[in-house]
Formats: sequence, C-alpha cells, structure tokens
Amino acid sequence: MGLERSVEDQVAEFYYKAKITRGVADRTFRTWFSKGIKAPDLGKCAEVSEMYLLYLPFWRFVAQGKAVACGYSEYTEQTGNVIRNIFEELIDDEFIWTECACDTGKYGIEKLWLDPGGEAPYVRGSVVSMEPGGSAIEASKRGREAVHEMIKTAVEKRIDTITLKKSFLIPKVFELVYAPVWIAHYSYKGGHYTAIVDAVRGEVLGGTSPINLTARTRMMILSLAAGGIMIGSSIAMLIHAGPYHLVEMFQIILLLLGIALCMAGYPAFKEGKTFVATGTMQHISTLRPAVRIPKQLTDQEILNHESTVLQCPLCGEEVKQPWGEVVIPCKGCGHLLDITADTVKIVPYDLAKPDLLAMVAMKGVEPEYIPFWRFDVNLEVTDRLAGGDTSTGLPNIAGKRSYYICAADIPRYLAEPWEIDLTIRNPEIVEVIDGRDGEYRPIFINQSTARELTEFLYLRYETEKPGILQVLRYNFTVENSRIVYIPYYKEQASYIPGI
Amino acid sequence: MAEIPGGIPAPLQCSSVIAPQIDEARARELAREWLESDTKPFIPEDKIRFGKAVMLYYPFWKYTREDGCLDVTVYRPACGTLLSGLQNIQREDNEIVPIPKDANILPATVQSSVYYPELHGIARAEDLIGIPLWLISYKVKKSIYMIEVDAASGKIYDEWHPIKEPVNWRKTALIACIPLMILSLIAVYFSPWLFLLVAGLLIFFLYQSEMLGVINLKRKEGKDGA
Ligand SMILES: [Zn+2]
Repeated sequence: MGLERSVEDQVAEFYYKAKITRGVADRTFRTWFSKGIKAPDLGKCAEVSEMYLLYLPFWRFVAQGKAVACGYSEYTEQTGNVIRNIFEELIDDEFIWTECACDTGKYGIEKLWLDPGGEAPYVRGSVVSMEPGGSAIEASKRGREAVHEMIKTAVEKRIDTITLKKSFLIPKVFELVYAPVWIAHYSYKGGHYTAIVDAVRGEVLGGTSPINLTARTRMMILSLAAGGIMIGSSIAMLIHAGPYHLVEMFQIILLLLGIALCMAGYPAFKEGKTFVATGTMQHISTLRPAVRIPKQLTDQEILNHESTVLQCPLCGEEVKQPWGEVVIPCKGCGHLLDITADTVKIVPYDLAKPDLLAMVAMKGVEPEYIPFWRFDVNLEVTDRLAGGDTSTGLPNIAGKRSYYICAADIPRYLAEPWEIDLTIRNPEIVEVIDGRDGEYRPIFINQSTARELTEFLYLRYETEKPGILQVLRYNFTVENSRIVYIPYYKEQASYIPGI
Repeated sequence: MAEIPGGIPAPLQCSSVIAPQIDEARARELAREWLESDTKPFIPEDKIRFGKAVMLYYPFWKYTREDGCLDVTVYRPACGTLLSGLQNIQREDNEIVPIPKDANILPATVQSSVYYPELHGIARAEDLIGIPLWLISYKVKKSIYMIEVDAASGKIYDEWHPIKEPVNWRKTALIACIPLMILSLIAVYFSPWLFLLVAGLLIFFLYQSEMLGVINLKRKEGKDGA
C-alpha cells in the first residue's frame, strides 16, 4: 500500500501483454493511411519495409491526493451587485502520472495511454524492449511535483480567491511499466516514415506521415488569392472612390486584413511536412541510446547505507522486510521496528485489552488486533470563519487529544469511520498484560504518511461540519506517537470494535 | 541459458563483432553522397550541416538454421531500437573478429528465445554478435536528423530525413496573389463586372492547383531525362 524505501533498484517492473497480432496491426496501419489529410495515394504507394513489436518503458507514479480548499468566487450582476459564492472543496482521489522513460524522438510518445490494471511482472529479456533511461529517483521527484500540481488545479478549479488550502500526497506506487507497440517503418515516394500502433487496444498512437500536397496547395492558393483580392480592391477604393461610398476606415481595415491573410497563409501551408512530428530528440545529439543512471549517493547515504542488511538495534537480529510492510515486529525481542528509513528505529506500542462488555458479548471469539498510529496532538485553532448556518451537533476535536490513523491494509472507506470514532471518543487503553496471542494485522502505513493523514482527518472533519468553511488557521503539533493495537471482532463482513 | 543463483539471467554479452570496414571519413563521405544523390528528393546540399559521428556496435542474435537442405543465417536485434533497417538485416560473409578494446557495444537486453517463434528449420548455432553502425547527425534548417551507415558494408539505411517538396511554394503564392490583386484593383476602378473574371480565375487556379504547384518539378525532371 504505502510507497516506502523506493531505492533505485527496488523499482518494481511490470508489462502489459500485447493483444494485437501482426495481421490486425497491419490492417490498422492501412486504415490509418487513408484517413486524415495525408497524401491521397498513401494507402496504395506506401511500402512497409519493417513491422515489429516493441515494448516502451514508462515511469508511473500513483498517489492518493487529499486536499481541502476554501474560498470564494465573485461576479458582478448587471445591476451592479457583487455576488459572492463561497466554496468549500474536498478532494480525496487517486492521481496518476506517467512519463516515457526512453526517448521516442520524433514519434512524440510522452505519456502512457493505458490505465493501471492487467499488468504482469516484467522479466528482463523476455520481450524486445527499449532500455529505460535516466534516474528513477529523479523521475519519482518529477512525478511527485506533477501530482502536487494536479491536486492543486483539481481543488482550486471553482475558486477564484483562496482563503484556506492544504493538500497532502500519499504515495502509493512508483513503478516502471512496459507498454507494447507495433512499429511500422514505411516509405512513400522517396521519403521515409514511421507509424506506431498501440498493441493493447489497436489505436494509432503517433508517427510521421506525408500529408496531402494537393490540399495544401489549394489552401495556399485560396488564402493568398483572397488576400490578393482584398488588397487589390481596397487599394483601388483608396485611390478612387468611384461609385462606392465606403468609410475610409473600412478600406484600410480591408487592406490590412488582406496583408495579414497572405502573411499567415504562406508559412502555415508551406510548413507541415508531416502529420505528427513532435518529441524531444534529446539523445540524438550524443547519438547514444538512453542509459539508466543510478542515483548518485551522497557520502552520508553511503555511510548509512553500507549494510543493506537491516538489524534490530536492540538484539541484533536480522530484519527482513516483507513486501509493502513498513513496521514489523522483531523476531528476536518482539519490539516493533520501523524499517522505512535506512536505519532501523524502535516504535513504542500498546496492546489494547477488549473491554468487559465486548468480552462478554463476544465470548469465545478471538479478537483480531488492528494496528493504529496514535498521535498525541495539541491543536490550537487561531482563526476560524465559516459561512452559512454553523450550528453544529458535532463535538469539537481541537485542543489536546489523541488522533488515530489505521495502519493496516484495510480499505479507507472502512478505516475512516473507525479513525473518526476513535479520535472523538479517545477511549481509555487498558494494556494487555498476560498472553499476547490473537491475530495481528501487519503495518502498511508509515509514520510520516500517518502524520499527514492525521492533519487531513482534522480538516475533513472541519469541512464536514455544517456551513461553508472559509478561514481556518491552526497550530498542529504532534507531541508523541506510537502504535496501538486495537481489538476488533470480525462478524461476517463487518468488524465490531472491542473497546 | 546460464543462470546465476537467484534466478536472475546472466547478463548477455557479445561473443564477437563483425569487423568494421569503413572509417569515419569514409562513412561521412558515403552519407554525403547518399544525401546528395538525385534518386532521393532532398534538400539542396548547401543546407546540410553535419554533426557528430559515432560508431556503435548493435548486438544481434545470429541464428544458424538448417532449413531443408539449405543453411540459413538470420539476424535479429538483441536490444530494443527505433532505428529502421535493423529488423531484417542481411549479412554476407563478413569477417568476424574478437571485440576491440575501446568498442562501444550496446548492452544486449533480449534473450535469444524471444525470436524462436518466427524461426524455421533445425537449430545449428546461435551467437550474440555486435554489428557496427556509424550514426551521423546532421542539421537541416533547425531540425536534427540522423543517418545510419553500416560500418561493415557501407550500406545506408533509410531513416527519417528531410524531404524537399515537389512544390515551389513561393511561385504558387505569387501566381495566386498578384494577378488576382491587379485584376480586382482594375475591377473596382472600372467595372464591378470584372469581379466575375476574378472569381473565374480563382476557380481555375484551384482546379489546376496540382499543375501550378508542380510547375517547378516538371521542368527539372525534363532536364534530368534529357
Ligand atoms: Zn530485536
């Protein structure tokens, strides 16, 4: 779930299987030849010299974007009244950023056209693929920035004047995805072109093609002739008014318009050799294909990095990271260890005992322990302003209190109500002293992610109060954090809290 | 396939390379000749500016197969490439030599088994061989293009190149603009009926657009044929 320890060599690689066969791809190319403003006899005269399947690498960054924005937009009515609409926006969506990891040069493929889903693990050498270039770390930085930007535009869409804005980005996946394409090199009347077809869905993605010369000549003649007529007649009218009593202003406008038409028409139709020809050609100056650049480690990182083997700082037991988990119990001494950084840190934790009521009601059923991050927070609201009806039945959760964030791999729609419930109630935790059996859910959300979720939990809570929030200023200080395992009784598809 | 422990396939390495026969100067000469040849409709020579030239060895799988009573050798690229001409590369008896010390060999990233489905006959041998290519960049106006010269045979592979269009745009523009301008000037000056002539001429131009546009090329072809 969480994206942690994204070290260069740990970037997961996936690929989409090609679904389009050579025959189908060939038909797609032929249909494409006869479409659009390409040369009319392209379908007949184009000779495909090569056609092959190739996998193109893409960086993909998936993140959950959470944001709150408040503010207003104003507009003036005809009567002169200024109407102000106040808004309170909440965004909690998945954002996906992709970038081609090799240079496709003039073919102009920059983004992945496929949605997540249906990929298989990529085995190096099993398919013909372009080598990914650049650094994964750099790419993930670019992805992060781009997603931040996406969240920002999404949340600010309707608001002209922002009075409150907070956004959080919870990274989910950073990976390298290979997407298959059929590439056809073809020649037409002495020129050489390339077309690219998506081998999953069978659509033409891009490429180069000769365009319709006749159509361009015609457009050129038309625009320049029209320009010529306009210039000619306006000059004549300026010299000799004759039977036409038009305003001089109009004549001058006509003259200028004619000149503009000629000046715009000539370059517009003269250029444009190809149908699509974009891209960077960034590697062509060095004439070398892309090379994967490993991250340059700083001295500090090398020092801390020397042992790729993680060890428990207390008992020295070697710690292995199960996939995706970020905090795990030590096999030797049983302490919880945070393994998301390059060094291992001990995380304090509590084990909550089910309360009497639950124990009686659920007699004979073993509870399941679900981990929560508990942050002891001191939250001081310095300024708050909301529009509309603000009478509320909801308790205030500002001040000193413990915030709970679910750390297990449990869908957010289930976990969020629990978090709110625990945060509002702040139940007293009675520690289990004797016997630690029962099932413990693994921890998938690390501390810093949970910290962000905490602040968002507060903001979401505030926006869910009646009225439209406009201004909210606060100091948010975390005084303490630990893991609390809370017992839940599973009953069919739902969970019943044990405290 | 040799495997190093852990299930990761051993890195693929070329066993030998095809000896390059042409040096940089010759490759540049060939490239220039090709670009200036009359068989291709190209931009005039003075507008081409050559840039860097690099010799790269592209890794290829060389499959030797016995198909019927014939020995067939097939080459397939062992790395992903967008260059044209490399998929069905043909080789006669080229001299195969050990890898030179300072050779730029691209890493092979494709296992030999990838191409098995498209091969016929009984497998006799398979090698990973580097084939040298000169890649030369050149600039026409503001665009950069690249030309591929086979460093063993001197063959040039068709790659995306600038195209001189068979249309004289300036002439077309002037023919369309000037007569109609003068005609409409006269029309306004003397009689608006002359605008009918303007319209007629415009329709004629559009109808004959191909002829107008290609005037220049036709004359050149006549000269070449003579
Ligand atoms: Zn330990």
